[in-house]
Amino acid sequence: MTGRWIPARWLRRLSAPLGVLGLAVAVGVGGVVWVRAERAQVAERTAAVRAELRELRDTLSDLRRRAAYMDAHRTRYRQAKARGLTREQDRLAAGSTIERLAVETGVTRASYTFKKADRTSFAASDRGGDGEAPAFVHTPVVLELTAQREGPIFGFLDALQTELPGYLPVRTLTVRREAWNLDQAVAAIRDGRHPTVLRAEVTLDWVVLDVPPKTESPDA
Amino acid sequence: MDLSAAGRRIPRLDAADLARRLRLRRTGARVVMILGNEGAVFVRLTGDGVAEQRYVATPDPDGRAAAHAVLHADASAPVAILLDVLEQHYRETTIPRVGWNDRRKLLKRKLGQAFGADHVATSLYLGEAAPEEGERRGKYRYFLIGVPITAEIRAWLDLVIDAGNPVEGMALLPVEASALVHDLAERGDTRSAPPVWEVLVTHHRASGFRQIILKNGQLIFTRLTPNLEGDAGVADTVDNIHGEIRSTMTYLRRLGFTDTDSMDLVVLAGSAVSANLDRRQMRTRQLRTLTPADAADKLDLRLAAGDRAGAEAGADTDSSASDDLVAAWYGRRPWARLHLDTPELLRARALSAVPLAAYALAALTVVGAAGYGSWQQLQLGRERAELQELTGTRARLRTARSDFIAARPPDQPRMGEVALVVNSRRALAAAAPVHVPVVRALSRVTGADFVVTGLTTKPRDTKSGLAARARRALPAEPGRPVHRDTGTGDGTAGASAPRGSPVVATATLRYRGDTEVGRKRIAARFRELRRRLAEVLPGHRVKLTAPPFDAAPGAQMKGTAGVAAEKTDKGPGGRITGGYRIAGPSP
Repeated sequence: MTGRWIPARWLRRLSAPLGVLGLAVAVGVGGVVWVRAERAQVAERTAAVRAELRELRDTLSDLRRRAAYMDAHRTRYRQAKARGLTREQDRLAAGSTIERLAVETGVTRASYTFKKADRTSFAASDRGGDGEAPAFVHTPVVLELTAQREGPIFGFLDALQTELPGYLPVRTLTVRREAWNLDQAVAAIRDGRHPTVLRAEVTLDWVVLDVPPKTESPDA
Repeated sequence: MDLSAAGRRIPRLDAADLARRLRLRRTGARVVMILGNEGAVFVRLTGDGVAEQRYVATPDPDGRAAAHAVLHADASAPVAILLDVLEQHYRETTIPRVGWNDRRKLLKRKLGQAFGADHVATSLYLGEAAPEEGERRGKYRYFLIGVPITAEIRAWLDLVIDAGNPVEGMALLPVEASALVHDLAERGDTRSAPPVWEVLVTHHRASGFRQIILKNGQLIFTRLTPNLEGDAGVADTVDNIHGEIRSTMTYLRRLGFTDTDSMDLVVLAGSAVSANLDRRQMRTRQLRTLTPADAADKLDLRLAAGDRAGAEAGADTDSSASDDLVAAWYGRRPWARLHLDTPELLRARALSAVPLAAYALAALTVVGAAGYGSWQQLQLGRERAELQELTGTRARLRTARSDFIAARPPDQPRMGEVALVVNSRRALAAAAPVHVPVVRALSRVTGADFVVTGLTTKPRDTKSGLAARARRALPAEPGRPVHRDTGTGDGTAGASAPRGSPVVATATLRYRGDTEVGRKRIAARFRELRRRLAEVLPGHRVKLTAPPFDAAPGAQMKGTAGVAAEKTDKGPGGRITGGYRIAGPSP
């Protein structure tokens, strides 16, 4: 009787079909594994390209947004720069400007006081440290003006707002008539004197923007 | 054996029926071994029919050599063994209607109880028994079949296994040939009901005269009588067949057979024997004799040329005439109805099935892998095309980005700085008091009749300074662009300009017009001036706080008359003045 072992002739008989089966499995599994690996590679590359495409689209969108913003605000920025909004406050030059404009606009007398400047930093919400943050530098300027009519006073204020670098809005304005007898005033003028007909007290807020030299916005 | 209790025929489609109905046939080479008590007959089949037949009396070395000669003529031809020995035990039993697994366990136990360890045993399902009283459905009926494996049988099986041909296992000739009875049945009208009783008598050289009796299509009874002595002639054979069938008919009558029952009695024998068979001698009214050649024609089988020639010549000396027919018929069947394997045969059968299974599995693997791989390849193609398209898009976007950056003016300031300056300027404009509209309005509405003699304007919010208010008006991140146009912040840029911080102005105006019109009219002119101021200063509240002639009962009214004691230039004197308070714009 045949034992439990598999006789050699049976092994010979089985070798071919088992070999074919092994080959088929190897080819089949190998092919499937290869194609799966290829798909995984392609999927990985596709994902990378998609991510880059998203980034590129974001970048382009951002660039276009920035370009649109720059187109819309370039003029305003240049105007503000030209008006000296980011320049330092030069009190000596400002004093000279006031004196010159008083003469040019016909203000009889102009006296000015630059009060103590204060600094309002943007640090809390925009920059890490106060020293690196932009800030408004604010100097109150008190003017006492006298003139023989309103024109020189308002002309002086207009010219001053144009010529003094920075932003210079009027905080308070008081205009009073000092002379009610116009005949006396005209006579005094004819005598070469300068009678005070109008007196104005003006307080201006002189503000400039202090931008630290190496400050860069995250979007720069 | 008495199988008269066999119940009604249960229409059940077993594997053999299925193969017959589907007309499944095997066409390849095969060796069928009919193993009996008097030796074995090896019939080698090819696609053209019976190629070779050899009778081997004993499994001694000579017999082994003879058998191996047949088997090794085509070493790849599988060997199917049909066992046709005297000692075959059939016992009918019933099994309760339990689940498949429980039924299997029950049958195993019953087989163990019925047959000893030297038997190979199996069971054959017969259908459902008639339901007993109170039961809706009957129990399962089975044949418990056992065959003692004698040393001689074991020697034959070893001979086959040692030959090295693939082994298809061992089956019982009576069980398998039940289907042959059906195949040989006369069916004039296929719609007519089959006969109740069917009897097939075959003559095998290795075993003898085999009678297979079916009732209602199911095997109920089988008999085997040994071959006659070697010198027995046709007459002896005919007498023997007459006698055996008579005995069988007598037994069948005890099982309920009556002359009115329909019966199909078929005797497979040589033409000489067939010609001398007499149904009266058999005490039966029905008899049909077929030579193996006739049966082969009927079954569309091709026998060996010698068989056909011998049959046509009327010779009946070759008692193995039925061997070729049964072997050819069985060799074309796709599978056996019932296997009865020893462990060694089972192992050899399993090993024999490996190549086909391996090839089938290999084919299945290749087909599956090819299908799946093709689908994957299709997906891969699509994904590659998509990747290529995305890569093209990426190249275009990169170029667009480069072009965009290259087109930027070289002296363009940084956007952060621009945003900081623009936002700061806008915040300052929003926080600065708006005096200009008030001054302009006064200059527009006064005309020749009024002159401003005193004006004071100041912001309504005097608590916080301009820088602090501007700081509050800044966006959360002053260095980032705000993409909505809120104006230049100049206060003169139209509706989109920030409105600025409201102011409160106090103005004193002197009347310079005609004083002869009367005080009421002058007072009306001051009121008209208030109205016009309110008109040109939308969003401002304009109030005449000090009317020139307040004659209302609740107000205080003063007046002077005569010449002043000393001429002075201080104050308006007796001139007509009015005071206004202007507040706005409203937030």
